[in-house]
Amino acid sequence: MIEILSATALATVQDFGRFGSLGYGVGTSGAMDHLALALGNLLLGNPEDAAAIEIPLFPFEVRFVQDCAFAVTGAACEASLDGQPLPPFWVAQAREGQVLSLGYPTSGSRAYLCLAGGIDVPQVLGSRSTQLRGEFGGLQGRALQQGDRLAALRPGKSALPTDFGVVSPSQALPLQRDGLPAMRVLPAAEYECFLEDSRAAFWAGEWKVTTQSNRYGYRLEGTPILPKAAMEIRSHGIVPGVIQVPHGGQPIIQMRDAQPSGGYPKFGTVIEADLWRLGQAPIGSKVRFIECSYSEAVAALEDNQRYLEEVRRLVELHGLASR
Amino acid sequence: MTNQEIRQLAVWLKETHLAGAEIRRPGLHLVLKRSADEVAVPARIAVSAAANATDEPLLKTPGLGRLLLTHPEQSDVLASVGSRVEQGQLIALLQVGDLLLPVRSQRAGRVTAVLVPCGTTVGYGEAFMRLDAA
Repeated sequence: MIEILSATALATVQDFGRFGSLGYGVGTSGAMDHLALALGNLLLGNPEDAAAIEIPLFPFEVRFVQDCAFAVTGAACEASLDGQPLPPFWVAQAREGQVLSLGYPTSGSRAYLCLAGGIDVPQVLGSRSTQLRGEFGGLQGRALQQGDRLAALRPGKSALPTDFGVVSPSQALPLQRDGLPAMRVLPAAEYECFLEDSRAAFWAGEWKVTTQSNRYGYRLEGTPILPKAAMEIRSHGIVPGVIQVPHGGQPIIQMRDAQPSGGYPKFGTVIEADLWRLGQAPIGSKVRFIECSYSEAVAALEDNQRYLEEVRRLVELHGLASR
Repeated sequence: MTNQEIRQLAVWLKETHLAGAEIRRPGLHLVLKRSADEVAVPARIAVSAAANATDEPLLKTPGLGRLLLTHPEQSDVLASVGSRVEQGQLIALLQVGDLLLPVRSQRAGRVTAVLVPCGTTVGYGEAFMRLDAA
């Protein structure tokens, strides 16, 4: 069990997300960087999609009320346990009374604190993710506050090895264009309705993540994307990753807590396999987009899966070797 | 451990091209080293207490992998020349595939030399850092 010590905002309990209820208007929620979440869980021997705390604002401090193994993944944020520095993407054993502090990130924007067994909160519609708009899931459907206590499903001294780490996704699965982090995008239904110059500018240009970017959506700033003619579209189902272009030509990318429906024209979709890259792009940073095909998007998902499988295999071997 | 078991160990070392093996158990300290193409006959079987960390200033690698002096996500060197380290402090990382294993200092001291460039593939027991009593 841990207690939140810092006056924090926007930290929420998330797992991979709530699937199967989009048709009822329930968005997926879930971790903005699902790979970091999966890696923290693999380091602890948890199921890959066990719930953890997503931390988007720093500094962040918790106290361990009980012995518990934990992992900090995602943004490299100067983590320390009772003052002892912890490397990024690392699993460690905490003793009762120890304090874990996370400082400002030097890379990435969201950190994940995973506990042995996963965070113990009730499941709603099959997931422990926090649905902020609907105020359910996670811890009482809200962001965490100072004084909140969260239990782990497997507290105590871990039987598995601790004090080791893993190579991060940005090292293992690098993707850049002209020195900037890049994401692959599939052209969407209304792609052809945009001017050719605008389409070319989208792929060639640098896009800044503005301050109006959060779990609901990212507003980007760059060369305006203009349609051939004004479009009025009825609201329809959309998923995280969809890039909408409202009047004004500045794109909005739907993220994890997006509305499940919308009526703006859809220019493209950031592929599922690259959503984590966007989730780690800090406010004010610039990104690039790379056009890809459906089969390339599927191959990218397989690359992610292969990396997680390899980490799982090595962590298991490490566990066997340490006995 | 019988002579037959030791001979079997020697054959396995040769087959797997390993340079040697060291086994410590209460009442047993066995060191096997390969020399040239032939596996050497066991050098000694000592009934002795396990050796303590010596005053030897050289720190040796704990296993096979890529020795990293900086974490890939960070820019600062973990233990720079001239800095003081505490016992148990993380001074390097050993990369084995996607895993990063800690290399922690066995004792306190001052780093006087780094003997291996960051990213070198190392074997077991290679000297990589000189640590003098601070």
